[in-house]
Amino acid sequence: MDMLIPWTKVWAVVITGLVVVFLALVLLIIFVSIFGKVFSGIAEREKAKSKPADVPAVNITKPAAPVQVPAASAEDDNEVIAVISAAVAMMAAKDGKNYAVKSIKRKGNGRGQAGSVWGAAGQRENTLPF
Amino acid sequence: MNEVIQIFLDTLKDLGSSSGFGNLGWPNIVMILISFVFMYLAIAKKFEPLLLLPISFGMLLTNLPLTAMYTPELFADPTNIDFDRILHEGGLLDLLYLGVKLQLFPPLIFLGIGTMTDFAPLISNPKSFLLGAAAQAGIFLTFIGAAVLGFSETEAASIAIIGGADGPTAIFVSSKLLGAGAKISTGTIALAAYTYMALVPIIQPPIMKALTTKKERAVVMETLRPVGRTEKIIFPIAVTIIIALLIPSAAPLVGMLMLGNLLKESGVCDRLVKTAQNELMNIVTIFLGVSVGATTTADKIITAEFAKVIILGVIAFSIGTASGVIFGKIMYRVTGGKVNPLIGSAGVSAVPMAARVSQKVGASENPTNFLLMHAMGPNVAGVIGSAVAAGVLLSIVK
Repeated sequence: MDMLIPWTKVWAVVITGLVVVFLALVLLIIFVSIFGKVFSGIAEREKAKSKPADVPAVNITKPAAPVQVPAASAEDDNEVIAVISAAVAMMAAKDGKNYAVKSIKRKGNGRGQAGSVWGAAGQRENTLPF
Repeated sequence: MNEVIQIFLDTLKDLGSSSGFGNLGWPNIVMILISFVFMYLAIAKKFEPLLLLPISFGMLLTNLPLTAMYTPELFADPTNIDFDRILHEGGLLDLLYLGVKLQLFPPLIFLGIGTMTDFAPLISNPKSFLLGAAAQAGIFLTFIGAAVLGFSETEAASIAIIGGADGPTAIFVSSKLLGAGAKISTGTIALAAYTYMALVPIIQPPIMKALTTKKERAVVMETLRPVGRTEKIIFPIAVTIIIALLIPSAAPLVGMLMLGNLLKESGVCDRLVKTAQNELMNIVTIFLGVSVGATTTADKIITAEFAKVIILGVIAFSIGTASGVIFGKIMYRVTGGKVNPLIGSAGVSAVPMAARVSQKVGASENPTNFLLMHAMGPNVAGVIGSAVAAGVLLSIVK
C-alpha cells in the first residue's frame, strides 16, 4: 500500500506530540505540587494555631464513668465519645450492669481505606455497582 | 379512456421517480440498516445512548434520499467554506453542522463537563498527570498505523485522536481537519470513538491484567490529602493560563473545561452551573449528535476505509490503556510500591468509565481496595492530556 505521508513527517508528529503533551503536563505537575505544598503548609500552620494544648477530659454523668481520651485530637472527638458512651450506656441499661469507658482509641486513619470495618463496608457499597 | 389510463400511469411513474422510494439505492438501504444497528446498541445495550442515539438517527436522516437535510458538497473544502451558500441552500442538518464545523459545540460540551468534574484527586496527587500524559501515546502511535494504511495526514490525525477516548475532542479535531473530499468523515470518527468508549469495560481489563502482576494489582494506595477551596479555585485558572500559553490551539477545549470547573468551584454561580451542565449541554448534545451523524453518508461508511478506522480505533484504545498501565508500573517501581499500576489505564480519559474499570479490576484482586478516587486523578488528567494532544495535532497537521 502506498503511504501518503512521508516517514519523516510521521516521526515528527509522533515525537513532537509525545514530547509536547508530556512537557505540558509536567509543567502542570510542577505548578500543582508547588501550590499544593504552599497550601498544605498554610493549613498545617492554622491547625497548629487552633489546636488546644490539652484535650479537655470528658465527664459523662450517668451511667458511665469518666472517659479518658489518650489518642484524641480532632475537633469532633467529643461528639464521638458522647455517641460511644451513649451506646455503652444503652447496653448497660439493658443488662443492668455498669460499664466504664476507660479509653477510646482511633484505629487506622479512620478514613475507610483498611481503617475501620464500617468505613470499608460503606466504601464498598458505594463503589460496587460500578 | 385509454388516454386517461395513460395519464394516470404516467403521473404515478413521475411520482415514483421523484419520491424517495424511486431514488433509494442499495447503499442507502445498507446505511439505514447500519443506523438501526447503532440505534439498537444505544437503546438496548446502552452504548453511550445520549450521543449514539442522536448520531444514529442523523445517520438515518442523511441516508433517506432527496431529503436534502445534509449536503456534503457544501463542506467540500475544509479550509474555505462558502457560508453564504450554506445559509441560502443548506438544509436543517447543514445549519446545525455549522456548530460542529465552526468548532462551537465540542468546547460547549467541555464547559458542561467542567462543571461536573472534580479535580481534587488530581490536585492532591499531581503525579497523576504523568499517567494522563502516558495514555495519550495511543493517539500518536495510532498515527503511525494510519499512515501505514495509506491515509492522508489529516485523515490519520483524525483517526489517531480516537485514542484520546474523548468524544468532543475527537469531533473537534476531525471536523476541523476533514473536508467532504476525505475518505472518512467526522461521523465515522464519532461512531468509532463513542462505540469504543462504551466498550472500555470490555477492552481494558484483559490488557490491564496481562501487563500487571497479582502483587502490583493488590497495592493499597495512601489516602489522598483533602484539598481546600482556594486550591480548587486557583487550579482551573492556572491550568488555562499554562496550557493556553503553551499550546494556543488547545485553548478552546481546555479554556471552556476550566471555565465550567471554575463556575462550579467558585460556589457563587449556581444558576450558570445548572444551565451549563443541564440545559445547555443537553441542547448542544442533540445538535452535535444529529449533525455529526448526518456526515455518515454511504460513501463514507460502506468502504474499506471505515473498516480500517474501526480496527485502528480499537488499536488506539488498547495502546492508550497499555501505555498508561506500563507507566503506572514504572511509577510503582520508582515509588517503591506505593502506586497501583491499575490506575494508569484510567489515563485514557473516558470519564468516569475508565476509572470505574480500574476500581473494578483492583477490587477483584482485593475487595477492600478502593482505587476509584486514585484513578479519578489520571482520568481527569487524561481529559486535559487529550485536549493538549488535540491542540498539538491541529497545529502540526495541515
